[in-house]
Amino acid sequence: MKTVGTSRALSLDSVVVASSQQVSCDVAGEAVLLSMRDGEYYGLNEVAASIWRLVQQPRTPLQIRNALLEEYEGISASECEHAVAAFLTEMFALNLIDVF
Amino acid sequence: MSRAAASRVIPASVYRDPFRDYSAFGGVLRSAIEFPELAVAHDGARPDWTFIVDRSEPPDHPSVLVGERRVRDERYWLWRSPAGLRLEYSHAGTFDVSGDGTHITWYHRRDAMPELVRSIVLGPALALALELAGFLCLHGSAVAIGDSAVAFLGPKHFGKSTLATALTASGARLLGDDLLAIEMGRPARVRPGVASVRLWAETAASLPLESMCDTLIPGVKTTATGFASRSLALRPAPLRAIYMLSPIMKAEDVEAAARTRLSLMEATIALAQQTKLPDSLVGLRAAGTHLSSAAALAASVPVWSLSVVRDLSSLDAVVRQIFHWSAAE
Repeated sequence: MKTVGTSRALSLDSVVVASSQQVSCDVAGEAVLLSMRDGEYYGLNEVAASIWRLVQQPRTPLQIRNALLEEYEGISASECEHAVAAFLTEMFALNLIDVF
Repeated sequence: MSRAAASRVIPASVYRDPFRDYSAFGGVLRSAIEFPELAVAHDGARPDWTFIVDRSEPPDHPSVLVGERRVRDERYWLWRSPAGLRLEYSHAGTFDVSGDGTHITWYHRRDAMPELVRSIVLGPALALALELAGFLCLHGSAVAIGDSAVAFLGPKHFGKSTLATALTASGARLLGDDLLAIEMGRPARVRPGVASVRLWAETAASLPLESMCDTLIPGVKTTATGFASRSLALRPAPLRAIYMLSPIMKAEDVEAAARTRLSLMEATIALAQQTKLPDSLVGLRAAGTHLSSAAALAASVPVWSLSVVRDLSSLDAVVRQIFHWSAAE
C-alpha cells in the first residue's frame, strides 16, 4: 500500500477514521463532503462513498477492503486493495481522515 | 413617471418610537428603525421578529465562538451563548439573536452606517432567525413566473439582482433579492423576501424601474423599492427551477443564455456553496444541516448552470430565453 509523506504513514494495519472536521451527506448512493478545514466540497462516487461510510467508524484498510469485497462482485482483492489505498491516501492528504 | 420623480431620496435612517411593522419573508418585522426597503404592514398581525436598538453596552454572556469570516477589511464573528446567537461585526457592532429567533437586538454604534445596519438585519441576522425556524437560506434572487418560483444563485456581482429585476420588468413578479428563504418540503417553496433590489447605478439606469417601483434609495448601490403590487409575488411559490449563474464575455456565436442541467451531486455542492450564512461562520453542525438541505433541495428541484453573457445589451435576450424555458416546463 502507498504511503504519503506525513507524520503518520498509512498502511494495511493502520486504523483510519473520518476526521471530526468534516460533514458529509448521502446523495443517491454517492456522497458529498465538506472539509471545515479549508471550506472545500468533495464529491464521492459510489465506491468512494461506500468507503466513506465505512470510515465513519475506526477501521483498518484491510477491514475496509474485505467489506467492499462483500459488497461488490467482480472485483479482485488486489484491485480492491489498490482502490482503498488510493482513496484513503487522498483523504489523508486532504486531512479528511485521521490515522492511528 | 419620470426618473427624477422615482428618485425620491429617503433619509438615511430614522429611529422610531413607537415601533413600526414591516412585511418581510412572509412574516412581520417589528422595528425600532425605519426600513425604507420594506413595505409597511398594516394588518396588525403579531410580529414574527422584533428588531430593537439598545444604546447600552452588549451584555457579557458566557459565549462560545462558532465561526468567523473575513471579507476584505471587514470581519465578523458568530458566538453562541445560553441567550442565543451573537453576530459581531467589525464595522457595525453587535447583533444578538434570541434563542427562539424572534428578537434581534443591535447594540448601537455611532459610527455604523445605517445602510450597513439595515443590510445586516435583513441579511445575516434574519437568516439566522429563519434558519432557527427551519428554513434554508440561500444567497440569490427569485421571481415568480406564473405560479412558480425561479431562483438565481451565485456569488456577488454575478448579476442575480439585475436578472431578477429585468424579468420583473417583463412580467414576472419579484419574490426576493439577496436572501432567499426556502421552505423545505415537496414542493420546496420560496417565501416572499424583501420587496426591493439593490443595483449598481449603471444597471439601475438601464432598467425601466419607473414602471415597477416608486422609490430609489441612494447608497453604495441603488436600492429600488416601493414596487407596485402587480410586480410582487406576495405568497410563497413552489420552486420550479434554480439557476446557478455563470457570467461569460460577449462574443460572436455565443448565445445570450445557455443552460446545462447539473447532476445531483453537482447540484448539491452548488447549492451548499450558496447558502447565505457561510460555513466558516456557522460552524460544523449548521454546515451539516446546510449540506443535507442542499441535497434534499437538489433532489426535488432541477438545478441548472446558466451561462449568461455579461452585457446589458444582451439582457432582453436572456429574459426571453428564461421565459421560454419556463413556459416549456
